[in-house]
Amino acid sequence: MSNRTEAQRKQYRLSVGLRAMTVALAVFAGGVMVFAAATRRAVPYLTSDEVWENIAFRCPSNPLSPERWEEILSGHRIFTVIVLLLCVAILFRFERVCAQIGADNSFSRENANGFRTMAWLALVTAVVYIVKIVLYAGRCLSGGFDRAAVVVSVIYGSMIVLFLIFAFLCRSLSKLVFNAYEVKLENELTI
Amino acid sequence: MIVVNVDVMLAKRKMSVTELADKVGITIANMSVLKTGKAKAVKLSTLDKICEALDCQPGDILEYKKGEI
Repeated sequence: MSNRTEAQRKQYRLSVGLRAMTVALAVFAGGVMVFAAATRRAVPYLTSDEVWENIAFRCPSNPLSPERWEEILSGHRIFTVIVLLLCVAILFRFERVCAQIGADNSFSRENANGFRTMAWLALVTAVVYIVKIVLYAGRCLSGGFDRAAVVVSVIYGSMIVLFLIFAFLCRSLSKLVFNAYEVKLENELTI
Repeated sequence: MIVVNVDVMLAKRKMSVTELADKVGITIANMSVLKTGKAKAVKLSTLDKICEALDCQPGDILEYKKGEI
């Protein structure tokens, strides 16, 4: 009787994991659509002349010049390389998960750990973007806040939110796969 | 903890583990899982086939050991 209760508890945890993953997927998809729409609308609006004249301060003479963009981007190349390496690590880990699925071993401890690793990497990437945006805010406060800064800030903010949602999604998937692995193991050890 | 002791019956019936596994319809790996006590559950149909193959009672091969998990 206690074994059946334990099995029922595991099934319940599995269903909760499935629902959490559904919610995370919906939030991720919604987040992508909202931020894409918001970025598309916000950037032209916030950088338009009528709005910019009211919100800009210590604005450089030519905020959207190639030299200004080069100044913005030059300080962030190292961050870009770090983010690229983290994204490659996430993709590499996902490839190993796909290899396990291809070997008919979808619900395994390795896959659960793989998704957990991907969640941590996505969280670290979001933290890197947070550091970027904090450092960038510091530079803007000392050097001037211009229209290019608005574009960059919106993009950085979007990336932070998207990577946080992705991290939550991977974590939910990790728990789901681990619970499924435990149920599978119990079934396999029933002779 | 319930332990499945098939070794004594196998010796009495002069049967190998492989033969028993074939008669019961399970793999050698699963038979090993059963013998080493790692099985989480045993289906009554499997127990039925084991007893039929070894011509014995369930009590002849099942043993309860207190305090082990």
